[in-house]
Amino acid sequence: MNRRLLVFVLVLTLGVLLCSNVTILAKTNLNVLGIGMSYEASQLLIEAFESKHPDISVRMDVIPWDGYYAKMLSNIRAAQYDVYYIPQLLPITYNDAYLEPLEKYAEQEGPEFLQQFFPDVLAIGYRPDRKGQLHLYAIPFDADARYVMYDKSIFDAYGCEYLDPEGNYTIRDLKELALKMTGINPMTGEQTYGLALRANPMDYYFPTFIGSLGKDVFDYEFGSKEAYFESPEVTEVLETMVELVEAGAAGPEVLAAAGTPPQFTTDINPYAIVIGMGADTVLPEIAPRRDRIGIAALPKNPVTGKGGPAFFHGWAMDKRSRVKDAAWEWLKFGATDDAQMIVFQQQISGWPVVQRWYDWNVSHPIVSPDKDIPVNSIPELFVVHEQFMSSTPNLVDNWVKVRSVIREEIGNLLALEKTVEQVQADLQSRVVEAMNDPLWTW
Amino acid sequence: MKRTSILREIWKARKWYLFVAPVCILFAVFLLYPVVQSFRLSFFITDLYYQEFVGLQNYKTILTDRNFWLAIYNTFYLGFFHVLLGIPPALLLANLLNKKIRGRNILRVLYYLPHVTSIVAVSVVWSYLFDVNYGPLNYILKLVGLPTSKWIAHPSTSKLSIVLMTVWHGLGYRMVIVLAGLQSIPRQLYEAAEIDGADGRKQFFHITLPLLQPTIAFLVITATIKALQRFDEVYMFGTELGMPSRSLSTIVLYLYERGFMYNEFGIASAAAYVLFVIILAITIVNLKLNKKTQMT
Repeated sequence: MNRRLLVFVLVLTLGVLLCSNVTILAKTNLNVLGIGMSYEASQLLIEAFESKHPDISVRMDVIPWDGYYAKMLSNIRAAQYDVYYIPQLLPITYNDAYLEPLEKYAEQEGPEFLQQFFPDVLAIGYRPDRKGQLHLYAIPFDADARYVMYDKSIFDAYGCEYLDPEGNYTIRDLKELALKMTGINPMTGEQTYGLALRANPMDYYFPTFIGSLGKDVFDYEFGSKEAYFESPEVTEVLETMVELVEAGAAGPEVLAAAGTPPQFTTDINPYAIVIGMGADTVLPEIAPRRDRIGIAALPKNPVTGKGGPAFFHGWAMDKRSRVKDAAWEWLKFGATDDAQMIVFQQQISGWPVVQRWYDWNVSHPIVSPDKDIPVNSIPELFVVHEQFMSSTPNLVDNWVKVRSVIREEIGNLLALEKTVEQVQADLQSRVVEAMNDPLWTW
Repeated sequence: MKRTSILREIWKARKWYLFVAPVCILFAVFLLYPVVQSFRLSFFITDLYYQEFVGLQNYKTILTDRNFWLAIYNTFYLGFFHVLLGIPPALLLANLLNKKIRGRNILRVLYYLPHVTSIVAVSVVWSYLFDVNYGPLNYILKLVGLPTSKWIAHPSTSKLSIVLMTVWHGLGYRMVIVLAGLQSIPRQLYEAAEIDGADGRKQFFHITLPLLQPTIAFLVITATIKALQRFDEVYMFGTELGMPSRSLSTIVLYLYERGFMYNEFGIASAAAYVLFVIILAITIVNLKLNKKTQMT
């Protein structure tokens, strides 16, 4: 009797195992590498995808943003995943060597597939291969931009006008405001500082500041190895920075490595204007403090109409993947309303990248958790949209090295360790050298 | 004939070779191979995909790079002051806690606690302490009427701020080592000195300090090695560029920047070999000094 029971249990177990294995074997396994997204967000994405593609099983690993760059490159080199969530700053050789060009896949979907994205954001997905040919290496998933934020209470106390949300102002206007709002707040008696300048994210803003005077420091063309740091506009911006530091308008922590002063969103904030903060703070931190904190686009170049940069994150496919069709389904899925809604509501690492997003009526866990509201009625998102529609192309080639040079040289200037002339000359020579680095340019 | 006998010997002792094989294989794969490979890479321009032989160009690049020498300077600055300011308080503390005072064991544990905390967590906490506007350190300085400091926010003070933090972090460890050294000094020496009329100060300078010399030498050597490997805390405060103004850029941070930020694995490998030569030189000097001390 016991033996019979044992045989029955064994047969049953074997049957169950076999059935489950058959189900697993019938599915295509897709390995995905994400960065920085919450477990909840990744699960929501997987569930939404698998419900549409029951034949594909997704396994997603997520690495944190901290130190992501080296980790991401190691994983790409080792062909660990079929799909990678990548920011735009991948070395050019990596595109060519490890990533699948996606034009042919996109073409099969018809012209409207790529037309749905913000054009300036989509443009970042195109990167040169080693021969200098442009290819689409990533399908946009979410994007972020940088903004100027200001403390309305400090502006009111000094009787200053708020910044134009569309970014129609210049570095000269910022300087004038910063100098005016540095001192003892006439309403509270507390010390205030006009503009929290920081060397660390200066690689993003410095070209924008110069652009606001009608002159760009880069051609923003693939293959271009020219930089224009010797112009009078660059001199003016550098002198402005020195003037702000010497007047104490930049605050006491001007050289701190951290970008945005953490006290900005607190009640003890002494800074009138702050540059920075990402998508993860705009609605959670800024929108609830709308009465006190204003937000504006970075200053625009009056000649080209372009403002601050947009930051792109997209899904890229590994060239060596054995499940490319499944991988493409994932990439395509990232642009659907289902996935883009998760981007918006879960605040993954940026904002949706499809243009229709701005016309949505939708709820948001922080701004409007209970009812749908038009996205375009949220004042902070007006600025985000404005940045997406008019973003300066990112530093197309040599991104990481050029960024480091700018940060370092502006740091030297803000520490008053180098003169304006020295910084200008070093910026010109070192940036051009970095742009000609054989590892970064072909 | 000879070769055959060697092989025969190996075959006879094969089971012992089998026992040491895992260690040898791991050593070869994870240490020997990377060492040889990085030496080879130091003669190439490479991002691990693209490779071009450039001879000694990478060595020339780093030896003429101002940032490399700055990293060397910062590393030695941090190391020197870490040793200089780190050992005396440990000596003092260990002497105090070597005496029979109430709660001595609890105090020993308390002083050792920071050392078991991750340096990353310590750096995060100290970044709040160093805050120029609202940090408790500046608050205390203001309270007692002293001028405030910019701590890690300015190149003139950033390195010493890191030294302050690392001295605090490693105090317990050094204290325990000195304590062990103190407890190995025979009590009879102190008793004899007391009979001869030596006071506490004389006992310290003529018994404790000379007999602690091997312990202090150990602390100096380990601190020097640690100084040459300094990465976590400077990365936490100054990112990969060792900000502000590269004042916190150390040799290892420089390696990381070139290798993992710019993908210049050839240059990073060359820098690693220059670092190897520096460490080798320091080790030789250390060994010679130690020999001399032992002989005297």
